[in-house]
Parts: sequence; structure tokens; C-alpha cells
Amino acid sequence: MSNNLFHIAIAGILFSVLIAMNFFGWLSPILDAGRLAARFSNYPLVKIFTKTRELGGIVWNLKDLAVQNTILSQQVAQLSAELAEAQKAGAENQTLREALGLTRRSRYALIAADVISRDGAVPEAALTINRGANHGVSVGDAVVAPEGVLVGMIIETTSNTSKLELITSSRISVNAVTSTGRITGVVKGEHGLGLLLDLIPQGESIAIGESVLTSDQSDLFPSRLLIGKIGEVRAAPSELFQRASLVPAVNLRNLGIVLVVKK
Amino acid sequence: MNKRIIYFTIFLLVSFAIQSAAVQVFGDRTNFIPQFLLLLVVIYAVDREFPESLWLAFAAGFCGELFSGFYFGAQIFSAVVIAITTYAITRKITLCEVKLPMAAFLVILLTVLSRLLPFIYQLLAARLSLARSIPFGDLFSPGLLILFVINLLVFFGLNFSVRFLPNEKSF
Repeated sequence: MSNNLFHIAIAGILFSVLIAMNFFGWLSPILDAGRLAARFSNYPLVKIFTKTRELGGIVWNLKDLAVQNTILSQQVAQLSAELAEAQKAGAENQTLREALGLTRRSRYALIAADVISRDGAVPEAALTINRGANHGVSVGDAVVAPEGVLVGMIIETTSNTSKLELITSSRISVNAVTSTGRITGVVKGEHGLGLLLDLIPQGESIAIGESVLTSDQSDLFPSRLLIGKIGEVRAAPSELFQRASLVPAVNLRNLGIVLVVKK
Repeated sequence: MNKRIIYFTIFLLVSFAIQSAAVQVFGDRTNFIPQFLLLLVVIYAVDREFPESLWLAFAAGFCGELFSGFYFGAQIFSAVVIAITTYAITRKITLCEVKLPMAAFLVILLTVLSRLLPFIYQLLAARLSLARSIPFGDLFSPGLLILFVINLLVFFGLNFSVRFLPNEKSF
């Protein structure tokens, strides 16, 4: 029994030392190295599991293939028409800019990163990406998906990794505007489970399916980044403001590659 | 270094590799991913001497910290407490005597404690302004029933595999 207590005491002391080291930031290089080593060593298993998941997805979705094919064909036709319109508008925009002598808007610098971990037990938990301070990532940097959709913000960096807080976290708020520019509000996360567009003035007519973007008034995030689409409107006449749930534009639970936006 | 420590390390690292790879690929379906590390901790706590179980739990917890969303220390804390609790409960039985009812009890205990202990730890860290607390409802959902069943199946598989390890005393 005394031997057991001795081992518990040693474990307790070691635990306290590790907590203290973590508090002062001395443990970060060890944790970084561990994460990168784990990522390197489990790469073959990740490949196998990814193939298994893809195969499972194919088998599971076989029954829906015909319906999905029809829906996707219609979407392709619609998007092709929208693309043609957008290209025409872009060309006109460029011509007018040149005529007025306006300079081209500066682009943001992007740092590509892989999501190397997520704690699925905690929907609000931050993800870990494999880029850190050594790669130019800073706390407060916005993060987007490759499609250009806002997914979150960097909240912590170490030398080679960083923690990414998703926009579905209740700790993040984003000034937002609809794509038509008619309606402004604040997008808030709902404990890692969804997005809510809040502080919409009563009396504004909200269209289901309308896109919601980051507004020009946001200091934290670049403007005009897609966040999601209006899913359901929650309007109570007795309240000052309306709310609407948003459908995120990407699957935030299945992010693989993300881009850190440097201003 | 004796064979026991080598096998101990290999089992731990393989379990960690499988679990971290599974979380990376199937992270949006966490309740379908068995908790290999903690199952290994429970099996060792039933079958092995206390010091060996304790240090395996500590190492497993540290591996879990690498990809944890909780404040640092939560996974080590919960792994060690689970090991001590399991050891205390199962002193009078051996791994061969763990049948379905006892296995189910141990797996339920593991599944619940693996969520409850980090929650308590995170709450304490939040009280000390070191971290933010997590809503209780985020950690407990009907999906835990699925996790329990999957943990139980993997428990029997790991239980069978661990019996092939050498049993010489090393502490």
C-alpha cells in the first residue's frame, strides 16, 4: 500500500511540474514535436481510414445517386449561367476601374495549413493546424476554407502549430451583412453546433437561402467573406430583434485544409 | 530494458496511433471511435500491478493531451483517476474472470468518467481563469450509448490481445 502511495505521490509531483511548465509555455516545443511526430507516424493509418470512409460513403450513397445526379445537373446549369454573368460583370468592373484610374484592390496573403487534430468530444473545442509562429501565423488571424468561406480565427500559436477557434463557437461574434446588402446583423456561434444571425431589426424581410457575408465594419475579419446561408427565421413580435439560423457554407466538422489570412 | 516495458510501450503507441488517425478521419462522428487508450488503461488496471497501471495511465493521458481540446492536464488527470478507480474496484478478480456484466460495468464507468472528469477539470481551470468552461450538455448526449457499445466490443478484443504479453514483475 505504501508503495502504491509512493507512486501516486511521484505521479502527482510530475503532473504538477508539467502543469507549471505548460503555464510558462515551456511545454509547447514538446507538445509541438509530439503532434508532428504523431501526424507523421499515423499517416499510413490515416490513408487507410480515409479510403475506408470513401468506400463506405460510396456504398451508403448508392441509393441516392440518381436523385443527386439530377439535382447536381440543375445546379451546374444554374451556376454556369451565374458564372457567365459574373465574368461579364468582372470584365465591366475592370474596364471601369481602368477608365477611372482606380488601383486594383490588394489581396490578402494566405498561409495554407492542414487541420491535424480536433477533439470531437467537445463541439466547441478548437482545432489544431500545422502552422505556427514560425510560418507567420499570429493570434487574431482569420481563417478561411479553400472555397473562401470564413471558418474561424486563430486563438493561440506555438512555434509550429496553432489553435483555430471555429465560428460556431459561442466565443466568436462576426459583424455580417446579407449578400444584397439590405440586412445587417451579428453572427454568433451556438456552442459549436450551429450559427445564429442575431440583432436583425424587426420589420426587415429575410429571405431563406440568402447568403450572409462578413461586413465592412468588422475589424477582426476581412470583409465580404461568405459565412453561410439563411436557414430558418426566428421572429417574435415581442422581441426587439429578429434572429435567423444559418447553414454554414462548408462542413466545419470535416475540415482538412484551411488558409490563414494575413492582413 | 525488459520485454514487458517494450511491449507496454508498443501497445500504448499503437493504440495512440490508431485513435489519433481515427479521430483525424472520422472526427465528425466521435461517438463511433473507440477510446483505445483508456480501454488499455482499464485492462492494465485489472490485470497488472498498481505502479505499472498508474504509469501506463499517465503516459496514455499525456498522449491524449497532444490532441485534446481541454486545458492541459485534463486527459492525464482523467486517465490516472480511471486507472486508480478500476484498480480499486477489481482487486479481487483477474482479467480472465472479467465476463460480460463486469466488462459492461467497467466500460460504462470508463465512458462516463472519460467525459465527466475532463469537464470537472476544465471547470476548475475556468475558476482559476486559466481556461473557459464547457457547457455540461456538450459532453453528454444519447450518442454515448453508441460509444459504450463500441468500447465494449473493442474491450474484449484488447483484453484478448493483452493476455499474450509477458507477465514478469518489473516494478
